[in-house]
Amino acid sequence: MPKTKLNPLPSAAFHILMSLADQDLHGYEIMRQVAEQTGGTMRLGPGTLYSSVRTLLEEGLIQEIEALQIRKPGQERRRYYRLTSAGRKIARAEAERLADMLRVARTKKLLRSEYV
Amino acid sequence: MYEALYALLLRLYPERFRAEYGDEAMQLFRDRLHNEQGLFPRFRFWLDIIMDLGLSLVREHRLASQTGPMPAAIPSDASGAPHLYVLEQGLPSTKCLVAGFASSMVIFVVISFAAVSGGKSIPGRAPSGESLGENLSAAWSFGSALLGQQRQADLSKLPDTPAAKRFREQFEVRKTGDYEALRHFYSQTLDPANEKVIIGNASTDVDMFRRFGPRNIFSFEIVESTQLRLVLLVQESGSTSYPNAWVRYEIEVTADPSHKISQQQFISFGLQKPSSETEIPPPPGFQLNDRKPADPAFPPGKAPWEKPFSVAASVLQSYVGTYDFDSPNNSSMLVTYREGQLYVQFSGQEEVHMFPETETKFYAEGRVMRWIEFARNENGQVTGLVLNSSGFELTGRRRK
Repeated sequence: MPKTKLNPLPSAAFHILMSLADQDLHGYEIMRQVAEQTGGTMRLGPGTLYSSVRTLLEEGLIQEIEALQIRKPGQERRRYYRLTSAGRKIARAEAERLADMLRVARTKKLLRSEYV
Repeated sequence: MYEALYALLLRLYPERFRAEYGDEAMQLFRDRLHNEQGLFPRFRFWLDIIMDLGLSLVREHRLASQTGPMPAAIPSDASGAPHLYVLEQGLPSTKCLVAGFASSMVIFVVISFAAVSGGKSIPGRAPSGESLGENLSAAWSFGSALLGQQRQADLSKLPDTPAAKRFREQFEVRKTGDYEALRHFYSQTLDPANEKVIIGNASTDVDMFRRFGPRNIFSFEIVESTQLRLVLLVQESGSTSYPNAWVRYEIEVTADPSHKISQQQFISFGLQKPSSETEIPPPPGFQLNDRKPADPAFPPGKAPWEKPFSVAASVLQSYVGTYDFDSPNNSSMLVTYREGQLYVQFSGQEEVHMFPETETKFYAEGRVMRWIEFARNENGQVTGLVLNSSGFELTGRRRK
């Protein structure tokens, strides 16, 4: 299967990694966290979310866990996801890359002061 | 209705995607549908779904048509930073884009039609609640959420082991909807002291079985002739969060008068962490805090719907009104009178014919465990009612 190396990360994948940086989340919580991180501009649908989740799982950037303590009567079992150390490394590298770009943009006076 | 519609749309995805993430995608859809209420959020929700379908369908079908394994590990470049592989190369082909556009338009038309039709033409899934009020609402319904999920389970995924064989047999028995057969299966086929099998009837249970293997069942009981309560104490040996934790499930299976399974539901769930990593004692007996003793089964020919108690029309008419429950979801029940009969309708559910056992206590047709009892004040005015569903009770105040 032909594949393309993407560096930087796809935006959706980066946001999913960031959403898992400080907590384990299930699909809907990831979607909400990503929406919150992006000010509501990125609202992941089921197809996009789980397609990205599968890629991240296969690449070992996140792992699936079972969070029994959160389940309530009548609820279906949910899959929770956790950031792996490789995923954290990737997310950090991407954040640093974006920070570098921000510094350049600031130097070029493309941004107003509120972005500083 | 919308869930049924999205379940149909999910069928457009390749089998691999559906098998791996079909349930999760459905759950995400359900969560968003539940939480994004109102005109604008709902419009935005459907717009998201349509765009998501258009984009992800193309991608998933391209993936499915391609062959070749994913890399087993993340390769590193000279700097040591691994690369992320994605599943596409370049833009989708014109053919794929056209197909995606066409499918999006079809989906949009279908959803628009469904929205205009008011959501009454496609049967929906029975609700599954979290709060007591929602649980009661779900329990009151004559539908069966778990029966619906059972049909989606793919038993071919199970391994070829004795435990999996039992698990598969259980699925087959449940699929018949025959309560007596299920009762026979649990009481005769399984040995509660030794059996290692997971009780389940949904595709998620199949998935759990595959990943974590069978669990120990410690007890089950047959409460009455029309109700089976499975009390399962299982050890979640595969749990990452709580390794070897003991988990208590209580599942209730209820039969209708014709001995068909009319409802299956989780009625409690509990977790006990192990006291240490090595010592894993079984949990002590448990008590449910807000549960009443079960009603006895009605003897043949004596059930209220078979031999109703005679209540004067004026008394029945005095019960007519709306009753509000002090539950988190602000549910209510409408009581109506027609042609000498009393009917109730719980929030958002179908009307149910009620049959008197006494002048104040009425049973839902065909149900032992569902009843209401009206209350009067010292002046004889009807002020409220108690709704009992499988031992859980809610008190409703009559709306003035």
